[in-house]
Amino acid sequence: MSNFMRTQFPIAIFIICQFYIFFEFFIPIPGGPALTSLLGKWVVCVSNFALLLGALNLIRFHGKNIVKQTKNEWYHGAIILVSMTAMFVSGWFFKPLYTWLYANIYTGLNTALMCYVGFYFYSAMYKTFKVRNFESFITLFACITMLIANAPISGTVWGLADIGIWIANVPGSGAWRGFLMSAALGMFAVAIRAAMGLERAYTGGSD
Amino acid sequence: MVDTLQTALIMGTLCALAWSIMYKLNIGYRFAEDLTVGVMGGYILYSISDNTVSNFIAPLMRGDLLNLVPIAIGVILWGQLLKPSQRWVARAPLAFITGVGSAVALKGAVYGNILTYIQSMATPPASGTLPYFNHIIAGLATITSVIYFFFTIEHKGAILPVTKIGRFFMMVAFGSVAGSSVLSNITFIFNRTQWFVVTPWAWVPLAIVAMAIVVDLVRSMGRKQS
Amino acid sequence: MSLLEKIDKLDRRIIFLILLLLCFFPVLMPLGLPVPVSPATTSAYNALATLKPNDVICITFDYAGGSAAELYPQNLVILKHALKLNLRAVAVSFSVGGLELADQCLAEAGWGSKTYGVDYVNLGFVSGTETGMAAFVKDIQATISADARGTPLSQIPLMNDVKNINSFKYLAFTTSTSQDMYVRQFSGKGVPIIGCIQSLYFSVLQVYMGSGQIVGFLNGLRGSAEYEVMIKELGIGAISMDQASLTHWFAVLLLIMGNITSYFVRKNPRVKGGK
Repeated sequence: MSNFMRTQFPIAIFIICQFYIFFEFFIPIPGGPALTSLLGKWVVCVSNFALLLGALNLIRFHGKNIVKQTKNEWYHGAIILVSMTAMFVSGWFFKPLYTWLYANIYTGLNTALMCYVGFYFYSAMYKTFKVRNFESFITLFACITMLIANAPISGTVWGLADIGIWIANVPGSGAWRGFLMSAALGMFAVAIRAAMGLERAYTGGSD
Repeated sequence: MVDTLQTALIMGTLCALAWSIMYKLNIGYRFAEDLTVGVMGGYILYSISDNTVSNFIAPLMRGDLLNLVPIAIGVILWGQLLKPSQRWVARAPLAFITGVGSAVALKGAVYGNILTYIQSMATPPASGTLPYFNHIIAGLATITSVIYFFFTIEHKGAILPVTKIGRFFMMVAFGSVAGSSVLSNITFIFNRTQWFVVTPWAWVPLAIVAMAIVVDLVRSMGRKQS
Repeated sequence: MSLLEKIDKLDRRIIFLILLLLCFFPVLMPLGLPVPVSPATTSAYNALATLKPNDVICITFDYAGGSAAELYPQNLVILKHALKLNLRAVAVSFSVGGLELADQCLAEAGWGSKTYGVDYVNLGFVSGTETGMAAFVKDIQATISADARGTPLSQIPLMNDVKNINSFKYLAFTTSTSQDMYVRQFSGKGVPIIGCIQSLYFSVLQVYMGSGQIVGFLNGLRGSAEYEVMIKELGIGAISMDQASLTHWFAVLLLIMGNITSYFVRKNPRVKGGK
């Protein structure tokens, strides 16, 4: 019983849900669409709890650091938990602070932190994007033509932007179509493996 | 609540501290980072709990008892917080989400990711030499890329040149994406520079942080020389 | 160290400083450089322009924080256009971060002059990502009980005309992550789909547009600038295009210069490791 509940029951749930939802789409079953909608709504609710779990884990992790007074870490945890509490409490009880925090910290300060990516990308373009063989030359050429195409002023010089756009639209999007098809086929392969009980990542691996 | 000047000064300081990482890692940057992480966590906590209350708990209170089932499944999912020997209780809810989610994705993938592309590859353009040429190039890129990902066949013999052509087209695609990603990455900088210019007095903290960086740089250069 | 070696080992902070100056300069002194309009944006514009007054459109707000810098102007310009055309708007979010942005965007686009619940509504957040989308496509009223303000849908007049995806005459998805799920769930239902994406995903959206799964898309900040030009209301997008022109050409210069200096440094026998 214990092994059944730990391993086989979750796999059974997975297979039943997956097969039902997938085949209901192709084979008309009386009451099928209504049950599918209901299951979809239930997943929406359970996903909420999964997201809340993530937030609770964050509180648990930083709370432990503060309690243990982990060197060089506990005050970071303290700032995180204080700001988290301020945001949560103000959302329920003090909307002006909540709105201010959202507009300025969540959006504005987050954008300022993300600028890091832009600056380092430019540094990487100078220091790291080096041509060492034919393939890297092709990649660099496509990158440069796309950069020129994306600069609006390039469109004023006849043909300058068109090369980059052609490369992105024709060979580039052809290759992406190949990626997307391969990813879809891979998804089917993984789903079949999971239905056979070979993929058990969602059960926490083998027991 | 907080007036415009105070907001400009507070946010100007925080954004300048966030940018100070460009010079070197410092405690001001770590403070800005921790504050953002905390606010993001608090926002998620608030909006998810609000959503759960209004869409599931409130209808439950109004008499829709069917909502008890997903709430119970969700609470069982929190078994992940228990001791490692007891965490197995959370597997069934996880299997439920994964099973429904994967089936929903697969349903869409059949038509959306496979049949539609085969259809568009098989349908030639209405007229014109250039559209035909483009159609052939794109089709070749698609077929060779898909063959490249068939790892169950060893890439040798007749397959090898096909996969090499596929690799070539993929390098072109990667280069194109790298070029497009520059605009995505730099938009953040556009946003903040516009904010600094448009918002009155926001530039003051930035100027102060910049001066502090210059002073630190001059001192470190002086130390190097001595 | 020779000059070439010094240039090859250029301190990255100098690159940051030049980039920062190139970003500040056009904001302080606008250059007014032209913005050509792409076919993808023209298709997206036409998809909205051909709708009749009181038609209902749907816009998803599935981004937050930093991504708002690139995606928010796109939603803003579409909502401004929709307001001009006297359409009705439904905002929804499949990602938790976009909840507040929907209200902010509707207000900034001028929808405050219309009546909430009659002309526009914010349905709030639908969890479950792709599963949530599938449920939304099938039956909105079964998936969502109340809007973002907690009002039951039965008390919102606009929702009498909105049952499932086919109630919409236009749907624009806005996301900072995978667009695949949106195309899988929303396309092929007879509703024109527009993508509002980060320019990183330009090639991917070309695939969807080429196969007819979407009608058009806005390519990041450039897409919103092009759309602003089409509706003749210049805003954040247009201002950013001067910055984009300068910084992109700077990027091209860095790539070429980096490779040239590194090539000559490697060739120089005096340099350690050179030929």
